[in-house]
Amino acid sequence: MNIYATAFADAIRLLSTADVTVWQVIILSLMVSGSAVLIAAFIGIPLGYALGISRHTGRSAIMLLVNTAMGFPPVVVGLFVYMALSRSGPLGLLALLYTPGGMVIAQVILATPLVLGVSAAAVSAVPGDLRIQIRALGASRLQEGLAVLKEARGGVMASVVAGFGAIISEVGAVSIVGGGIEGSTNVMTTAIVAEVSRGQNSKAMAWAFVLIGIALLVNVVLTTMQSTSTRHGA
Amino acid sequence: MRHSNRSRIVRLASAAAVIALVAAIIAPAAAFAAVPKPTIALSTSYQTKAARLLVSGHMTKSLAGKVVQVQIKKPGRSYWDTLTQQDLKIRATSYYSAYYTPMLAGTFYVRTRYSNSAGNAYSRTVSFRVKTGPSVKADLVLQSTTSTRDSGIIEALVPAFLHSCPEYNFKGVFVGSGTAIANSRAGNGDILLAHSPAAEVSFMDPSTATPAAPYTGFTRYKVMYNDYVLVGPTVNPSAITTGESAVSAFGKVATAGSGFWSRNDNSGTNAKEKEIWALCTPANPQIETTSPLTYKSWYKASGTMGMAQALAAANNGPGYTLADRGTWLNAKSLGMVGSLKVVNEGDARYFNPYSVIEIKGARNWQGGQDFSRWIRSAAAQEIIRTYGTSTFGQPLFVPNQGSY
Repeated sequence: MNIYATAFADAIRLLSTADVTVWQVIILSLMVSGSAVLIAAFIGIPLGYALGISRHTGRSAIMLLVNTAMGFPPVVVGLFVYMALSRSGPLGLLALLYTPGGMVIAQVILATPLVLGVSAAAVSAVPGDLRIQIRALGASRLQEGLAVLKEARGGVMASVVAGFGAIISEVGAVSIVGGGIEGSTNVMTTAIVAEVSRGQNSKAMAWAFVLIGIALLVNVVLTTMQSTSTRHGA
Repeated sequence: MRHSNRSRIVRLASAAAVIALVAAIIAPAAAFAAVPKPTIALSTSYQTKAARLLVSGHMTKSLAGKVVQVQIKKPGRSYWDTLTQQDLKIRATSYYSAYYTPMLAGTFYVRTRYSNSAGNAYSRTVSFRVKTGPSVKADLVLQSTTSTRDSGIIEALVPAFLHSCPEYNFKGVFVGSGTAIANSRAGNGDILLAHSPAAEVSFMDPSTATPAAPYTGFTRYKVMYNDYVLVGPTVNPSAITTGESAVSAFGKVATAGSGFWSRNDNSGTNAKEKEIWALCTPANPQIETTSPLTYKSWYKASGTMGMAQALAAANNGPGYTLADRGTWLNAKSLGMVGSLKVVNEGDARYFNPYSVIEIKGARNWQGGQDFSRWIRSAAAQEIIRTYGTSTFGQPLFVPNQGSY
């Protein structure tokens, strides 16, 4: 227990010394994962809605693919993105390897199936009578979609929270695509791995506590938004 | 008659003197004319912001197919760099050209050099001025090994490098030597600093390029060296002595069946350790079967361990492992390796040389060229020479810049 106590104390000290490199790492983690989950939400929620309301025969096959994609190991996704963004790969001219942009791409690929799948499940749980009722009242497709999403907003928010949770804590993709370069592509998880490989386990645990704390903070914010919206809603 | 004899001698002598004088003037001029001079012209001599410009010229004689080297002196530097990584080919019309994008503000000097067996001919030196440099610094990706990061030498060198060459945004990727070389082969590095000689030599060979990994090394220079040490438990069950040879020490580890921790990640340390195992008799005593490749139970080959982790594992075991002296001293000073000590060292086989390799066709080959030149300069070699003396009481590396 003593190891954990000292690591917790180290974590507080790490944050309170206000070292610019520490804050740089934390801010980069939040920016990379934050933008990735926003893009994933932009792609995943409309597609999840479409999948959720569809009734055609291919639906279960697509759901199967989405569920498989949810379980992709981040290392595998990172490897594929590395090979694509590598200079001798197809997208090498974009020069996105070892940049935060490349890391965002890898994390979008990781988060989108999660957002899509959970949103689809939330949308399909909305009773079909609601859609018929809204359409009967003269709503356009867009208004109908927004109404259904508003009804399923608990589940849709949960999908974004799940997506964010998955990507802020993954290390395989960001370390292969970003390289963990100090000063430009070091995020909290790659900092942990770097400290462990240097044998500095206590410093790594300090970072781990920081990561858990940040993830907790973000989830508190999102859950508060979720509960206030459901409270003020129907 | 005597008068005419003397006047004939005088006339002959003066004629000979005149001929010698004329020959003395004409011969060097003829030799000079024998080496054709290049001309040079720039598309612009002043830019407010750094932008691509065209450097061109022609040869005084038509020499299609030969090469010229365009040299550039960047602001604040006292030496000539090359404008393009490889020399320019002269076209059929005896014309040559290249595009250049400056990365700094200041006055640049450019000249062309043509060399043949008669000597070097230089064009006149032209200059262009850039008022403000580019708003975004060019990324310089160094592919290097974990030992250079963990020993802290890179952290000591980078600020001095950026002070000397401020136009780059330094990005260091620290993985094992084998991975660094693989990344460079895929074109994802601008400069390589590694310590795995066999793999480096293979990287320099252009015939090892494949369509998936088309990049190979351009130049390779020595930078510094240190040595490996075999560390083991203070109790030392294999009874290895510090003075004996590396091969016999490894043999004792094998016969006693004491635990040996291997990084198994194609790093320089892994390559050295495999090299020594191969020299034992019988060869490779740690391998149970070759196909499929299985290791004996005392040989722990992990694949995900960095050097410090392998030392911590050997400390925990306890067991033996091969470590570079820099990481060993660093780990010892952090108090991570209480139950280990150096059991074998000093064999010539433990020599650990580091080389800097430029990559042909790298994205920022200019940065690679600057880094390679800088790390071999007196200032950098001095930093390397004194690094570690204050923290560990002994320098971690010995600078030995030079060519192979």
